[in-house]
Amino acid sequence: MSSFKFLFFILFSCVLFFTSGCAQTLRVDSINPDLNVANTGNLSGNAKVAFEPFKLASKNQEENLIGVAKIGAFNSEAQIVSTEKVSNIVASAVKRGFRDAGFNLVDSGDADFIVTGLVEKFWVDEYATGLSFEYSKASVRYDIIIRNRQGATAWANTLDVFMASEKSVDTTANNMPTLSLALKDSVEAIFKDQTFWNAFQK
Amino acid sequence: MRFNKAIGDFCCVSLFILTSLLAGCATYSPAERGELTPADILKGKEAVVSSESCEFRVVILKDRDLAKRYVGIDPAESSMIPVFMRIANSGNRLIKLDASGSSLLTAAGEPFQSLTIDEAIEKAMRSDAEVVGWGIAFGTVGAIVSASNTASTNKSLEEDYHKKSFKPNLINTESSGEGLVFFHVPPEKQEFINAAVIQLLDPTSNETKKVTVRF
Repeated sequence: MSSFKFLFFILFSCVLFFTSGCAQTLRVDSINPDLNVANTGNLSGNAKVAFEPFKLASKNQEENLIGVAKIGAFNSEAQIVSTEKVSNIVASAVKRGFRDAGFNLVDSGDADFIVTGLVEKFWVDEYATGLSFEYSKASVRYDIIIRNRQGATAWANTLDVFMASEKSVDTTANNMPTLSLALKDSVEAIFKDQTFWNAFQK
Repeated sequence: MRFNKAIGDFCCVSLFILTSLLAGCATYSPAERGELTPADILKGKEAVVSSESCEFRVVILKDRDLAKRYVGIDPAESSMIPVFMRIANSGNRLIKLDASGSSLLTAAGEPFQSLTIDEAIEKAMRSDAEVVGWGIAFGTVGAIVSASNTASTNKSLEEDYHKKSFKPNLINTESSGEGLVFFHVPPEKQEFINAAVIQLLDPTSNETKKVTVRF
């Protein structure tokens, strides 16, 4: 009888272990959303722009932590960690946007404009209570400041996008696509803003 | 036998309709962003102040009906006051709203700090907890309808709060930012709130300045 109890205990522990998500960290290699950016400002292609490394707004933000997933039957929390730093992920996407929009990316010594960025939030997590359907929710928020050669602000904006996925029984697979989509929307919003283009006509 | 089956079917259909109707009530459908009427603004105590080359327009939404209609909460129940702000920058320097350094003040000078948008959403969801209970009340059928409905309601709420939150935080010269900032204020203190302290940040020098708007 006691051996039966022991076997039951072992089996139950195994089930708990495997269903509660044994891996507490999910690793993500890269986030490179496909951008759809057009040169709506009729740039001649000679606008020379340099990028300074983007920074994180808070010293408490962890450079590679981009969210929390809820995995397994008990919705155990697992950190989502990117191999690339958050500030680099955002900077790379914004740079690609500038290139696609027709800007000439150069070193800071040759630039007419310097772009700086401050990342406040780059995060995905889940609404998953176990009592209802789930959805992924991504928030991307960063400041972009563009200064001219004299150091005066030519244009600035806070890009702030919140995105929620469709409802599903288990939304973990939707986390990264939702975050990627939020980043894509935030970058594209820069180039849809006419005041952005006006700044380069002055 | 056939009669019993008919009664059984009727009960099932009735239960399903009843559950669907009840679950249908748990929606989040507050007013759109632009729907603050002049009457609402009067009710919400609008205050306008000019300082630091900016115009600050502040409407405190502590009236229950107004807050319910605009963001779906009872300020007393949720211990939270939404404040609509509009900051117009007519100066020649870039400014940034530092919501984390902004607060509401009572007449005695007691400060109440702002909440992040995630904290505000959590408070709103918690104060609307009755949505979750229907699954238990109506068994399996209720659980399915309620599960879907709860997720939809909370998703709508989150999307709406983000849409209505103050933006953009960085305000260019000759531009403005507007939207809601939420403050944690216990119910017993809410009637004494008579000022908002708005903290601005100079992104170049990281210097901060505070502007007080009295209602």
